[in-house]
Amino acid sequence: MSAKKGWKSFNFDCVNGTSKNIKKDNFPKQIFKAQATSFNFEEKIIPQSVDDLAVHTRKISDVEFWLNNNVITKSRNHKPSILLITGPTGCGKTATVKVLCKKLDIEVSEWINPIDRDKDYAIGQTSRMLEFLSLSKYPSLLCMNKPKVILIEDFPNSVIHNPNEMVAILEKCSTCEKSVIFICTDLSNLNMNLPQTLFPDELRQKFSIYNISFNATSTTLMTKAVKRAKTIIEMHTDINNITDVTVDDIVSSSMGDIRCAVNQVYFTCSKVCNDLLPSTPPPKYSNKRKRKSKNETKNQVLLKNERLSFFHGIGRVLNPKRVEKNGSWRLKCDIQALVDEIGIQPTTFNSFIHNNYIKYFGDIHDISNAAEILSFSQIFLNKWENRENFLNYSLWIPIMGLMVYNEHKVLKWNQITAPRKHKKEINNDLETKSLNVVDRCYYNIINKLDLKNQLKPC
Amino acid sequence: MSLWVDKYRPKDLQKLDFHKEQAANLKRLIQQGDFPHLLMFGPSGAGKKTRIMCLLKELYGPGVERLRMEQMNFTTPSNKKLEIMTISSNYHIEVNPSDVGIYDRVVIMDLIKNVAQSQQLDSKGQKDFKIVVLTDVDQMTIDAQHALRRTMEKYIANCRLILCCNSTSRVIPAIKSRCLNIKVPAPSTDEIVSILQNTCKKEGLTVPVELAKRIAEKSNRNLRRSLLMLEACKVQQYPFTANQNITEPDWSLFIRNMAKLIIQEQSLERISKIREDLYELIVHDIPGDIIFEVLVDELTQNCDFELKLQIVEQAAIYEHRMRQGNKEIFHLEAFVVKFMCLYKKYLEDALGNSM
Repeated sequence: MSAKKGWKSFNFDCVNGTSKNIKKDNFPKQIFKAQATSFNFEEKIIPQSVDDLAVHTRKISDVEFWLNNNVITKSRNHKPSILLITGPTGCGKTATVKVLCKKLDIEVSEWINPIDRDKDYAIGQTSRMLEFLSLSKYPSLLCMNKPKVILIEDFPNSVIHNPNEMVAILEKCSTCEKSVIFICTDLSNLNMNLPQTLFPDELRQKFSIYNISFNATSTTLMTKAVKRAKTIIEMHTDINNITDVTVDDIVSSSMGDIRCAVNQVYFTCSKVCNDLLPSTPPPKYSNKRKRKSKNETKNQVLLKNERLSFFHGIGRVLNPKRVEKNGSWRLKCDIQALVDEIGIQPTTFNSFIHNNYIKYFGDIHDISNAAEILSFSQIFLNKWENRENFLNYSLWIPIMGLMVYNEHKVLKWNQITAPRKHKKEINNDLETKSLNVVDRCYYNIINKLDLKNQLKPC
Repeated sequence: MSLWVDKYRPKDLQKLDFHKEQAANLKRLIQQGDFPHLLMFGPSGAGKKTRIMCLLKELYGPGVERLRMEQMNFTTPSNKKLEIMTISSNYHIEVNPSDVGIYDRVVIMDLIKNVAQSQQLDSKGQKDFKIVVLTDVDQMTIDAQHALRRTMEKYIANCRLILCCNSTSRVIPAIKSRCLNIKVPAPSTDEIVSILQNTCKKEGLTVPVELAKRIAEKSNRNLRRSLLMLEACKVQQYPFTANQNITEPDWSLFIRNMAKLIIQEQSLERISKIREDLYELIVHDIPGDIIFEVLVDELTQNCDFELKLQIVEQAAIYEHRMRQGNKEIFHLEAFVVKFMCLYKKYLEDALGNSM
């Protein structure tokens, strides 16, 4: 509940009854405003040096190496090179480039999608982007001698709908004399995979695009960054209500998204300053496990839309939760969301489930139903035509089936094991090549071989 | 020491022991000069490979018998290196594309292109095409089969394909229609018996007809296995006796033992145990359909008629799915669990009736 109230306080436009309530609560508008004018958090939080970045040092040095080699010391007949940085949202891709360019004294000229105006409606964004690229070879008057790099993070909408236009853009890039950095966000979604649709392998090879892929921010780096944000706030205001527990909460709830985490820090401190609510969680949670407290504390409203980790997804399927309702029951799970969030190949997912489901079932009839479903779902994976459409079914069917049929759930901790990989053994012996695998045992008998890999009934 | 199977393999179309009319037809086909793509199919141990080698000899003369093994390397578009073993002579090349699993498409396209683009060295008197023999075509991915379809038409001028498989059910219709389909049925028991006796004569041994007959039946009319069984029997005990023990293959014993375990107990722990066993079989490359066959055979032995019907029905469903799908373990396990359920119910009913 507390969270809900906190959210309301931002809703100034609201003209119904609730707004009056807020006024009655004596909402300290002035304090909030004063802070906003005296201290621009957004500006301060931008990383100033390499040390401030919450990015793995190897990735930073990768990018720095590329900048050094391709932008600063460029051999004369060297073609301009293209760098592609990929990674999930908020892992510090743009920040890394900007900080490094600042450090190495490189001018960044960034493309931002223009807003269409009436008079140049006829000119598409893509053609204007091409124009931008051809103009960018001229140095800016302010920094004549600096090396320059072009940064493209905004992709015109038409390119996203029609990835073929990317070829023209990349061709322009390779003729425009300056090196180009593309920043492209990885989405964990089967339907939209920007790095792959915009930069397919052939294009990467053709234009020799160098790819650096960032991972989601690790917990250690995240903690460091959140602490830095905290220090910045404490330096500029007199708020210091962010405890270590809150830091942990924020770090674990932001799922590796540094931007989200930093915003949470800011929200937390601005929220509590209006003193509407008890800021500390009730003491009864204090000795419980951390995981529990995460869900209960005030930060709940700020939780990032949770992205399921792989094992988490498997756990959901194998440990279905039910809600009893009027004598019948429903699954307590949004299956559509679950299917969407599974970011790996259905084949792999199904193998994982198949390898582990028995441990979670308590009754042989349930297993039989589940096994039937799993076997059925395999059919969808072998259709090569319309494969895209069938992939979703091959996830839906086993997920639904296993969750529904698990009537006698086994509640104990089980280790998830990976499916076995079986590589076909290829017999390269000319003498036995013509023999079928199933007849090889006779060959052993005849030649009185006692091979160790013989099947022995146990 | 070469095996009897290889030692006494007929090298000439005239010398084949059974399906003589078919052999004569094949000979006429070659003499006509034009030679289509062939698709040989039939159960294993029926002599498909023998017929293919005879055909090649008929086409090119004894030169095809000088075989060499060669490792060929391919690179997939995703830069994965593949290695595949090929057996080749100057005139033909034999390869099993399913050795490289899902990457067979690359092998098909590159290999046939390589073969087709190089001209026949020895041009005088020989045919102006080379032959590519592909084995286990039914194990190939659908993708590779579609790739094959185009390649077959494109390079027909200087390259002919002989495809070899057990069943045409997994071969796409487009390929079937581009080939001359030749079925090689399994030899009859009598044919096997006479071949076994002839082989023994050549070795200077004698074999009782009863034993030969038992071997033929036990091998499921698989000639290659019959010969191997006979040779194995000879190693174990000679002179032959009519009722001597014929060694069963190890996998067969293994599966029968597994079936016993299934009948013994129907529980969750048992399912896990059976899964281990199934994996063991799969690791040893025992094909799923054979596992099904032996398993059903053993499981239905002490069931009443009604239960037998249900079990066979389920086995048919799951085996069909196994052909369509790709992961064998899914379907094998589902069948085993299904059987356990049916059997448990059957036992409970029987118990209920007797009480």
